[in-house]
Formats: sequence, C-alpha cells, structure tokens
Amino acid sequence: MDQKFVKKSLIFCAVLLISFAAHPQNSLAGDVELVIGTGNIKGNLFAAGNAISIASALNGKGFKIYNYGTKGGKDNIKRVTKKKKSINLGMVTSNDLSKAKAKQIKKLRGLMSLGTLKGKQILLIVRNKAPKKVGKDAYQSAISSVVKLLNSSNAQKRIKSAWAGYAPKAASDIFKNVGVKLHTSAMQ
Amino acid sequence: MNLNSFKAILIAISVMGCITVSGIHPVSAGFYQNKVITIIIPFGPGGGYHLYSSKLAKHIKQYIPDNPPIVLQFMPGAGGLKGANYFNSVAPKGGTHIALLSQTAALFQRLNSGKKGYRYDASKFNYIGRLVSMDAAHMFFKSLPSRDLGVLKGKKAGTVIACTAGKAAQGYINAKALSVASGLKLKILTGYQGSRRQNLAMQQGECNYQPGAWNSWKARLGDWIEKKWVVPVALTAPTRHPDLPNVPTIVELAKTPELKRIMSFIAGYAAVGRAFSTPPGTPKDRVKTLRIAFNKTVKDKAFLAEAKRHNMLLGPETGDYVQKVVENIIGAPDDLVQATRKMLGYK
Repeated sequence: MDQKFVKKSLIFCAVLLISFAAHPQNSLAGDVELVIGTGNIKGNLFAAGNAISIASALNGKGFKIYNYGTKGGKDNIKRVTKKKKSINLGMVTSNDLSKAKAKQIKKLRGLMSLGTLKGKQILLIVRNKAPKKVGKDAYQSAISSVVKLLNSSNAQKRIKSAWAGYAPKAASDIFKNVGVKLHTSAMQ
Repeated sequence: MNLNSFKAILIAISVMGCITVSGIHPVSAGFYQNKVITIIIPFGPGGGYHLYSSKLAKHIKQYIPDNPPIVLQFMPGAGGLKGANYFNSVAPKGGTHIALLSQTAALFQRLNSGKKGYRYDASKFNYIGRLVSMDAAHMFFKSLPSRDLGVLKGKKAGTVIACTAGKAAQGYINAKALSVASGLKLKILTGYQGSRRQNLAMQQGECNYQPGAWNSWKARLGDWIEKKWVVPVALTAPTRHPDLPNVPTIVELAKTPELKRIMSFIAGYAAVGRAFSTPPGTPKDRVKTLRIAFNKTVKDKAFLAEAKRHNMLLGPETGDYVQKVVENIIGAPDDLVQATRKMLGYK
C-alpha cells in the first residue's frame, strides 16, 4: 500500500476541515432591521436603496437595511413619523421638510446629505424612536453604523453604480434651516 | 483488487467524507459566494408578509451554499400587482431573487386574464415552498341575532352585513362566495381599507360579518375568538381546517355541482398561502437548491421555536405542491372562469 498517498489524503482532509472551521459562519443572532423609504420603484432612489440594502448585508455589522418603494419624500416623512408600521430611515428633499407639520418635525432627526438628483439635494432623515423590541442603545448604535457604512468606500462604490449623484456629506445647515434637529450620529 | 482501483475507492471515500464533514453543498456551490439574496414583498413593512419573510430569511441562509446574506425589499402597490409585475419582468433570474407574492396572485390573474395590468403568469414562477395556508374564516360578530347559517337564512335580506375593502378585494370575493354557496342574503359594504378599519366598523355596528385569514384572526384577535365575540361559520378552503373540524367549507355548502366547481376554484387561493417563489427562467439547479434549503428550514428547531415565539402559525408544503395548486388555478377552463366572474358581478 502506498503510504505516501494515504498520508497526502489525510493532510488534504485536515486542511479542508481547518479551512471550514476558520470560515466565518453567519450567526443566527438577530440583526437590527431598519427600513429605508426611498421612492418610486422605477426611479433612481429606489435603485440606490437597493444598493444601500445590499451594502448593509455584505458590510454592515449588527444591522440590515431593507428597501421600501414609497411615493417619495412627502410619503417618507409621513411614514417615518407614523405611530404604527413606521419606517426608520427616509430620503427627502429640504422642500419636503419645509412643508412638513411641526408635529412631524419633532419626531424625526437629520442625518446627512446623500447626494443630488435632478438638481435637488437628497437628505437622509431618521425616526427618533426605536422600533418595537429593539433597545434604545441598540437602535442608536445601528444608526451610527449606518452613517459609517454610507461613508465607507465599499458602499460608496456600490451605491454610485446605481445612482451617479451619490456623494455623502454633512447637511447640518440645511437641516437647521428647516428646523430639523440633528441626530447624535449625524455627519458633521 | 489491484492497487489502482483501491486508490480510486480511497479517493472517492476521501472526497465524499470531506464534503460531508465540511458541509459543502454539491449543488450550485460557489454561485452564492459574495452574493445577496433579495426577498421581494409586494406590501409594506410591519405585517404578516414582513414577519414570515424576515423569519424565513434569518434561518434559511444556513442551508444555502456559501450562506448568502438575505435582505427584504418592499414594493407595495395595487394590492400586490406592482410587485408581481416587477418580479416577473425586472427581477434578476439567476436565483438571487425570491418573492412572497400575494396568495391571490394566481386567482386574480386567471379571473382577469386578457385585462390590462397583469403582466405576469403565476404558473411560470418557480415555487420553493409554502409556510402556511391562508384559509379564510367567515367570522360573524356577536351583534347578530344568531350565528347559525340555517337560522340567518330565514331572516330578512340585509340582516348580515359584511364590510370589505373593494370589489376586487379578497374580502368581497369571500363574502360573495358565502352568499351564493349558502343562500344567505348578504349586504356587502365596500370602502373599508384594512382589517383594523373593518374590525372597528363591526364594533361600531356598521357591519356584523368579516371574512379574513384564520391565521391572522388567531394571531391578532385571539381574545375575540375566546370570548366568542366572533364565531367562524364557514371557511374558504379546499378542505376543513384542523383547528375548526366542525366548520364547513364553502365547497361543502354549495348545493349544485356547478356551484361546487366555482367554490373549489375560488378556494384554491387559500392553498397557495404564504408561498415563496423565484422568477420565471431561474436555472433549475438553483431552484432545487432553494427547495432543499426551504424544506430543511421548516424542520429546523430554532426556526420552529422562533415561529412559536412570534405566534406564527405554520402549515408548510413543498414547492412542488404549490406549483400544482397554482397550475390548477391558471389552467381552469374558460367556462368556469366566466361563471365565477358572473357570480362575483364582474363585467
């Protein structure tokens, strides 16, 4: 019997087993699920939302973003501030925010500017209150991670391929002008 | 045995052993590497579609080669039609997109065949499995003089009032079917969007009957059922539900063979239930991989425990089963479809 051959087979098996053990398995621990309201399913913002969602699945830690095709900025403000079945993040313009009711403005916070579309600046807003069954701290930390993800080069590359106008930057002045408070994790 | 054949056997055993021990999936291995699976939901977040998709997504990925992450995508509009059209025509067909479409997608497509707006063929989707059937329970409210169909048939027309969303909604179809099958002279009100609105209308005395998914009734208003505020008098389902062995189906209530045919056709949608599918043209080996993963997930202890924790009722079926149910609905003869449309009062 060829001893060398048996030895080689055993080494091959051992290498495979070690590589399997070293491979990171997706844990079953629950990620914080965030829903982002984008826009019409035929539009650029919806495509950008998909790219954000995929980036969150591949590069996000402890959270996932799900894309929601809505009727646009006004609808997103309505949903972010809704009591039941609300969404967590929304893409809006400063014009949408200036038309929002004072009651709605209180319930949301400004995060950042995502870029421009048809000459309008697209802003990202966030719901102030944590979703059901998600702790306040976990929610805050997830939002902070979202801002980091959206600024990462990996995510930028992915989102830019869906929406050429994507250019994340701080938008504190714009939010202040329309009376929206900044989130603690907002880009400054 | 010579040395060469002994070597060949040893190689085969080593490879098989390594595959088994390391958990490498023989089908489509490598395809899902660095890919993300998207589950399309043709409704908004926060409801049953979200819950079932989210929990399946969390547990199925461990049974798919390369454990791809899974995200959800919400595409509401036109009662699920917008999402179904997108899924059929736009969604990538490589095996990275799955949908949990409305259980009535096939029935509505067949009832409205040839009409504008339906740009999909439900029988061409590749079903990977169903988590639960969506048998509709016809719930009669406590304000009615009786909850016995026989007694109510003797009362004047309009004693039983249903509140539904609109003529194209499931609720309307169910109410009309009960009326025709049982001979009950119903009054059907439309314009009540969503089950919450309809429940409120019942409490306020605007109506006293509401058809809706039995699973949903149990999960949302189990206390109403316990207190007998609402009582199921019939089911829209092909067969009786194990929870309700004494409640007849609309097929049983129908008197003539022709009516029984119509009721069976309508009840078919309940068997589709919460079914997941891939778009037409998805490679067969990937459909097979997803079906295997689905079948393993519905037996997974962690998945079952989580479903219990979230009050999710389960009644899983294989993709093959759902495929046959949908093909039966889509393959319904034209005379049956016309008779059903006539019964529903569609032009």
